[in-house]
Amino acid sequence: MKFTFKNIGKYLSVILMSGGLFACSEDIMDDINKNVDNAHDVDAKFILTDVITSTAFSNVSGDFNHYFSSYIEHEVGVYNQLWNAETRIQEVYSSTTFNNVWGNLYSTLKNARIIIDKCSDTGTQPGNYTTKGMAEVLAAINSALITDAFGDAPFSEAALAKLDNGKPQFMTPKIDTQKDIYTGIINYLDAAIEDLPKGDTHVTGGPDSQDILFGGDDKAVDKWLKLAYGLKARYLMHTLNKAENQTEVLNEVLKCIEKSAQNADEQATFAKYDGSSNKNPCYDFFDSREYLAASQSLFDKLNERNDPRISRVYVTALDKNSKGRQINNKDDESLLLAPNGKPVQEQRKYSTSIFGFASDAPTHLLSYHELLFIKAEALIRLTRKDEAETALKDAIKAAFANMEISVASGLKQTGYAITKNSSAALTASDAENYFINSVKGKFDADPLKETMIQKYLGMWGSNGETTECYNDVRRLQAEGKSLKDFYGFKNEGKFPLRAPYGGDEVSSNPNVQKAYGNGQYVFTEDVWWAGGNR
Amino acid sequence: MVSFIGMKSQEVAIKPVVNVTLKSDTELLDEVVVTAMGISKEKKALAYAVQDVKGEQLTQAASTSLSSALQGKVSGVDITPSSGMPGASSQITIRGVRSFTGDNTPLYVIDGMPITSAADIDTDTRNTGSVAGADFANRAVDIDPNDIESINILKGQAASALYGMRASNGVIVITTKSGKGAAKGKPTVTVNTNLSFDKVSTLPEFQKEFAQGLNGEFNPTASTAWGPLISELANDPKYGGNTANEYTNNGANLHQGQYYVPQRAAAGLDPWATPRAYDNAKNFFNTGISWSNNVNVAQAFDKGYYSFSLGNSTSDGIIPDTGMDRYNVKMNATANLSKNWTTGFSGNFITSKIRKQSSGNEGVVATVYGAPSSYDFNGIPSHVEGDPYTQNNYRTSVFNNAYWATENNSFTEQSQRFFGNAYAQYKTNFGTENHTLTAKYQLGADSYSTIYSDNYGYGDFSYKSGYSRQDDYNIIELNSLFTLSYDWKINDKLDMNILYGNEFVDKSTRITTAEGYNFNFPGWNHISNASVFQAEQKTKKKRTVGNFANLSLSWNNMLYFNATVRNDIVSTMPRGNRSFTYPSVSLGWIFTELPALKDNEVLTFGKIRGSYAEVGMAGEYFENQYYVPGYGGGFSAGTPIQYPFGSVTSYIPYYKIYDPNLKPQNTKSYEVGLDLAFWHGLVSLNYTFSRQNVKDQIFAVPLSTSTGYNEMITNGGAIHTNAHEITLTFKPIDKKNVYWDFGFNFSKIDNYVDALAEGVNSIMLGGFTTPQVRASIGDKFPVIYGSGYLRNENGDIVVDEKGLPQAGEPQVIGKISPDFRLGFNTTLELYKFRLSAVLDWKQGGQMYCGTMGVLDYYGVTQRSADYRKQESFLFELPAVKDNGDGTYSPNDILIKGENAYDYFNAMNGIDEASVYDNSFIKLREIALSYPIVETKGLNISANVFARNIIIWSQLPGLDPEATLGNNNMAGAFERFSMPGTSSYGFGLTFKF
Repeated sequence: MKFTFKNIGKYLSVILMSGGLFACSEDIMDDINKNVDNAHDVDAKFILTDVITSTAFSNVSGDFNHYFSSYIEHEVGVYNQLWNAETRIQEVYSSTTFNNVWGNLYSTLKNARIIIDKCSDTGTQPGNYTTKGMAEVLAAINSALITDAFGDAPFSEAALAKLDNGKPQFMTPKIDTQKDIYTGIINYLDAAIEDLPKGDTHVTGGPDSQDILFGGDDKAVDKWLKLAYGLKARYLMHTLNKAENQTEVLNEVLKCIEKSAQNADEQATFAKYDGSSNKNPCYDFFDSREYLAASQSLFDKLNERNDPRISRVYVTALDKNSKGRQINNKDDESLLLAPNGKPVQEQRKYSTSIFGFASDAPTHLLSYHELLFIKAEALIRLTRKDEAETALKDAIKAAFANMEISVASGLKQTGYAITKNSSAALTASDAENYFINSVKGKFDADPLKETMIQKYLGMWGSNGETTECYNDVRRLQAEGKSLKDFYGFKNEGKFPLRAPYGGDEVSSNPNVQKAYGNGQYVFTEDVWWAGGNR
Repeated sequence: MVSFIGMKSQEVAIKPVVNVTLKSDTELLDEVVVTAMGISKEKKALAYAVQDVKGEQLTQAASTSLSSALQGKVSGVDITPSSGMPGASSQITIRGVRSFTGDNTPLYVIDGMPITSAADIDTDTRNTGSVAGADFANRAVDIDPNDIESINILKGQAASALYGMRASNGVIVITTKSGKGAAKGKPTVTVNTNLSFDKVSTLPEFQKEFAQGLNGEFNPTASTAWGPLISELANDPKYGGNTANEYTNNGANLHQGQYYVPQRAAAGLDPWATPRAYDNAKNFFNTGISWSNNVNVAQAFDKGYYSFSLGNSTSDGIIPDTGMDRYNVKMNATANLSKNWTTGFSGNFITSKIRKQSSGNEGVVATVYGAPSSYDFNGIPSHVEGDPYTQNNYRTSVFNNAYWATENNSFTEQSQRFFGNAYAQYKTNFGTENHTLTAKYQLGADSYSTIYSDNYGYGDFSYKSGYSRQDDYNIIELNSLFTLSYDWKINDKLDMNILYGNEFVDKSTRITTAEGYNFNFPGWNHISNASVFQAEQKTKKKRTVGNFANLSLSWNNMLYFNATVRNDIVSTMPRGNRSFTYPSVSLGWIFTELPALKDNEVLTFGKIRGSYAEVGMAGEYFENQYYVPGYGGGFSAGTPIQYPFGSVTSYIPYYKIYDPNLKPQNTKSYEVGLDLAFWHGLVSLNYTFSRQNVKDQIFAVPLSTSTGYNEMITNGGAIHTNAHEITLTFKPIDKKNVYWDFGFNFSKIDNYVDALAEGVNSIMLGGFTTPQVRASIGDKFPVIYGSGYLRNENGDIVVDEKGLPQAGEPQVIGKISPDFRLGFNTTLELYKFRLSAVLDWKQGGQMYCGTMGVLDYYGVTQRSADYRKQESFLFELPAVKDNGDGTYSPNDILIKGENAYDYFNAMNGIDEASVYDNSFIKLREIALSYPIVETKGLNISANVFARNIIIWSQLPGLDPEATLGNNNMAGAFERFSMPGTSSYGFGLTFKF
């Protein structure tokens, strides 16, 4: 073959053709790159389920509950990070401490807002008002968890439902004031109260069994509505000291409580734990870490009241085979309480509360006993003492019944063998007797103090209520009640007034970085509703 | 195999075959190397740095792993093994890194076809920051060094430009034994067998004086050895046989000279033991045995040649129940069908099984190193009597008893793989003298499936009622390659070559994962015994279409110019951003061809070269998606919440989002170099300086989490690398019966992080919250970050009132990359003996060694005992004390020996105290071979070898190359890592 330019042309066309054979259009490439393993959109109800789970497991009863139990002496941190928190070093002001819960809260809030967005008139499931109302309730809870713990925080530019061309609308959300966030919270609840009864009218239907809080049956909507009212009572109480007309607010609180849960069956509680594949977060924390032990100051309060709970709620330090036994009574020689603020950093030295063993106890988003305690407090503040006394007595009864569920859970779990003592489960009449013999006198002497102490004792447990109790303590402290005299706290260290911002946010959002500074503000700056200004 | 280029015929007759190749290696001038896309070029024509290693050099010390066989033998290449365990992962990077969190390892091209070499599973994602679980091998583990004819390393982007995006980390071009050049007629059979013995390379020095306990008191379940003297145990008030206590029935049943050991009682042994010290670590490790065999048959015919080989390698590691079995089958054949047509194929089948154990926070060695010497760790059964699933250990928390773990937990990888290709080639000169056109089409496949099986037995510390996870990876990659090459000798002085190519790569991955939690009953550690199940399936497809062209011009054997351009279209990028084009140019000038310098007897060869190249690296873009959320991490030891709840599950938006404007990250690099040879190769020197500027890295940029999302895959950041590489070889003696050569491979690679994404100051590569390995702006890549010593404004360490150091703010506490690496190779032949050695020196760089800090804190080290026995001591670093009035004076606060525990406790709380200089020198290889039989029909040679037998290191007691992570944190972070090993062995080679 002779080499000519004609031939070159022939070869070139072969080249180009072969190139063309293997080329690919954008459509084909899109098809190749399609992720077939994941859904790209789902109905709101499938999101709702995890908004409920994460609110309960990660946000209400997660790291907030663990650390705050050291702050307010429900428990004592005896090892590693919790010992550090107990002794008020680093963990208390470090941005790493609450980083996980920070991220979880905003992720949950965003997911709740996506549901609201989907079920709005302009969304993909317009007409699903009830589902929207549920998401509004959950958005309110998570917003309140954010601002109660962190104070001023990203809100209006944060956790938004929609992305802007694949990116968050605000890469570094600004900080909103707690006051503004509280306006948002009440708005969410008011919207929920309006939306919940309107039904789910979109063709995709309501959440049914995806509503794992109340089961999605025909009574569920009513319970959600009761939760919305109950939460409104709680959050109005949080901001009571900021109200211009406190009496008006307190009456509003009582009205809300009337429309909220009327018994424990109606309370908002996350009861999906089975103790093995799904674990109560307090149990999971104990089981994973063994960082908490029984608090001396809390025991002192029980002991001072000759409280029958003493023979129910304590367990000896575990032995090397991870076995323990229920403490018999206050004189049990194996009862070794951890001194608040100064425990020896050692595991399995001190007795523990039984609540860390309650592997399938539920997490309360809002318990019936909390509502009764709020009612009692509101009545006292309205100087309706007799009614308050009844409410408090009911609250204690409900709290006893609630505690026994956790005790039973702790005794029956199989990870650690806990030998029962001979005491019987406390009944309503035990609570009645306790009230008459131990509480009444103290109540008569100082009704607010005894109510708050009983609330403090009643919300100690496995149900994640320490998180809310920390708000009470700070609110009362802001009213001038001394932690030592009023609450009987014994930790000599500095009391943290709030949680430091999350580390991922501090390192990537200059607005929050500036607010965080060196983190020492947690010791000096009250949140807005506790009289502070940030 | 014999390379037939550059050989001197008179020497062939009298030297063993093996030597010829080595000799030709030193005469680099006319040597032909395989560069990109199968192009063979004379080495002198290259205007960028490449370095080749012959098969014999790789196998001289019988390494069964390619990466360990390469250590110390090339410059510009960092090889970071994770441990000495069989099948252990090893990270190879060439001229530093280009990506923060992505793959920085080179492309492997075997017989003209790229194959997968990276690990399927990144320990960072799987083992929560690489600090738990077992290692995961990289797929380069499938390569048997015995099959390799030669390796050529394309270091810079100009060298690898034709391979496109995948080659931005450099290329390791492997040519396997093909039978080319084999004797015609009778087949040549080569049988090679090696047996080697491994032992733990180094161990910490353990104290044997003090018993388990704390504050001088014996405590049989303490994790520490700050107890009384072992010799005093019989007098212990609580457990002593000489005293009245619970166990002696208040003195009624004294056991003179003995003490009560609760673990012996639990195991059903006589609880009374005579106090003594045990060598717990030494007793734990076995002698590992590796046996490798390779049979090769090669034959040439008039119209073709073939090579067939069968290899196996069986290793048992030094830790019980660890090891690797690998079988390799390989066939290459080439047939010359006619004057114009050639066809051939290359096929490899590999099957392997790797047995591993866990490291880091689940490290089996934690209790091996941590066991107090008073405890008979080896003698006391690891479980309680009658119940094999309740551990019996010297301590009660956190770590598994190592014996129990190796018996009850298993971590395996089983892999089957085929890769190979077939080609047809048409070559014509159009009946002319000066035109040649070659068209070649090659179709290849790389297909493997690997089953990763992790089984935590019932009774494990992390998973109390057991856990089983099975991952099945199925990966198929098809590779179609068409090249058309045209050579034109334009005139006597000017040559031109034009190449066009099209590459089409289709890769599909399917991963099926099954997990089972909470076994119903002990004794059957199997997923079928689980009570909670989870399953997942992931599929991924990827297509790359590359079109490329190359133009080479050479003038008068003096000037060599090369230019390339390549366009890639990649499916994994977002629509509209899929197509990228990159150029490269290079120019080499052999100035010794100038008439004035030609035939100079001193400087016999000299070349100056320079190149510039750009290359991109694609990322992985997906549409935003929903997923079933997982729970765990934080304080949770396991998985506290698992969907579905009954039949109810949930889907939420993925925490990671993808930037639809993602563009490829871009590397711009240039290099300049000099190649000199003196006295016809007696001394030769290659020097290369290269600079890479990489920007727009694709990585998961941490977001403000208040956005509701955690991270976004987007572009951000910049990193640059300056690299100096020197190869210097000497051949001082080349006589008939004496031959000696030696050479140095020097690399100095400095990687600096210039920028990360906006608002991001650091990216975590692995480790804990503190300490961790991270990339941070302005620092060398990567660094160790963690709590430093508390320092005052002057930077002096401030001790507290007890004289103890204190923890300060988290900060950068160590820089990992070394100042330089220097490999030294030598070969000495004396009559028929051949001695070769490789030394490897790493200078500078630091590592976090958590184990030593913890062991001091446990009080099991000799160092801790030495401090304890002193009357008093000072904190060992220069420090100051706070005078309380804002002034400081030099630290003179003595710490009493009896408070040594407080000292090591304080030190253990400061991450910086566990950062060590990572300089070391290792005698990588030393081997001696001798031909026992040399007849016409049979050659038998014997060899003895040793690897990694001598280590001079700044790190006391542990191998500086035993670290966590199979990713970019490799070599930086140690905490109960798998140990390093030293090997000794011998082998025989038969050839007939």
